[in-house]
Amino acid sequence: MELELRRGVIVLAVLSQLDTFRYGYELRQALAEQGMAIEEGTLYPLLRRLENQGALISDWRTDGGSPRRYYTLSDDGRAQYARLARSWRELTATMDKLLEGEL
Amino acid sequence: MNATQLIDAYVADVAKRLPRRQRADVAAELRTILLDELGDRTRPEDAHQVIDAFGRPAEAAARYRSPLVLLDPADSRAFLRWSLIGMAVIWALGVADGFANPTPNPAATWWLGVAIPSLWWPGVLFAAFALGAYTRRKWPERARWKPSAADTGHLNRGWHAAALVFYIGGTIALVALPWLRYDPVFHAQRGPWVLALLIAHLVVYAAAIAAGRWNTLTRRLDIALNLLVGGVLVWAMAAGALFTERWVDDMVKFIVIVILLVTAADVVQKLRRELRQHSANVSST
Repeated sequence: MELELRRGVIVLAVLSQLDTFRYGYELRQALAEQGMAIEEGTLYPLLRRLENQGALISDWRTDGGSPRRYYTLSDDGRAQYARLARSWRELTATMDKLLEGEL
Repeated sequence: MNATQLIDAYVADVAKRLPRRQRADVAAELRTILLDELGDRTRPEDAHQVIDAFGRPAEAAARYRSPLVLLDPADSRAFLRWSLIGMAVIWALGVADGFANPTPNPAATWWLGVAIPSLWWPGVLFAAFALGAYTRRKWPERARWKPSAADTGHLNRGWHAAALVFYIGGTIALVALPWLRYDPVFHAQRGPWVLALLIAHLVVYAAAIAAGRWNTLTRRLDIALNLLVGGVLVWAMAAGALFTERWVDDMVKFIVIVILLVTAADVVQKLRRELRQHSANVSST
């Protein structure tokens, strides 16, 4: 059940960290350091799918090391992220009330 | 194989399962990702650990593509149920045929001649379910749930009259066509019973068409005659040949068995409706 709960927020978590260009491994590390560990088999294909859906753009860069694909939010992705973040805040506010038995 | 070779082999296995246009790009990215995950480690076991986290190549490749669902999960139980029922019927008919036409090795004959070929049934069923799922996704408006029409017993006279003419023509053809050479014993003993019941059934059908609807009496007569015709046909086929020529006899028996199976399903449905109707009447009085 916890896995399903986490699955629902992975997209939002990923979008939240891609305001600037980041490559997959760097993104996974950043998320893990902030307590949102995502399996490698889930995260990397997700980046591709989000790019195919137009939420992300990508670019091959070297930045002094091996070439890596870097991802960041597209304009559409930024708008989607803002919408999802708003929905998330409303949802957590509702859930907080439900869990406290106030609703 | 060293760690890098293992990763390269894994990437190649994933890439060959991807569409050609994205193969090189995904492979290059996957390779850098796996090497990033491997970091400074160099042992083959470490590479295996990194690869295991990505899953089998087929799973890893599937995650890079849009999910493809051929059989809707909601249909899986119905698919399994009808597959098993259909195969059980085919297998049972095969066993019955084995008793009727004994061979030196009945188990092998049944296995090779009935059990293995019976896999056509789940195959056909799967294709039908997959087609249904595709049409629902393609035209969702048409797939919207609609309540089934209330059964008022009303008959469309035009259509049913045309069907009646067709059935009467078929019955006359069975009797009058000169090239149908019936087995003499069937013609003398079992044939008249089959013909009498077929005519009785046509009379009930004609009465329902004349009235413009099925009523309780014609509905129950229809069920009873269906059962009687079915029983007599089973007896007529089990007791011996229907036609003098073997291949004609086999073909007709096969067609009659298919008709009997369809009729049996129809009778079960009609019986259930009658029982529902009966209990509704009892509870309302």
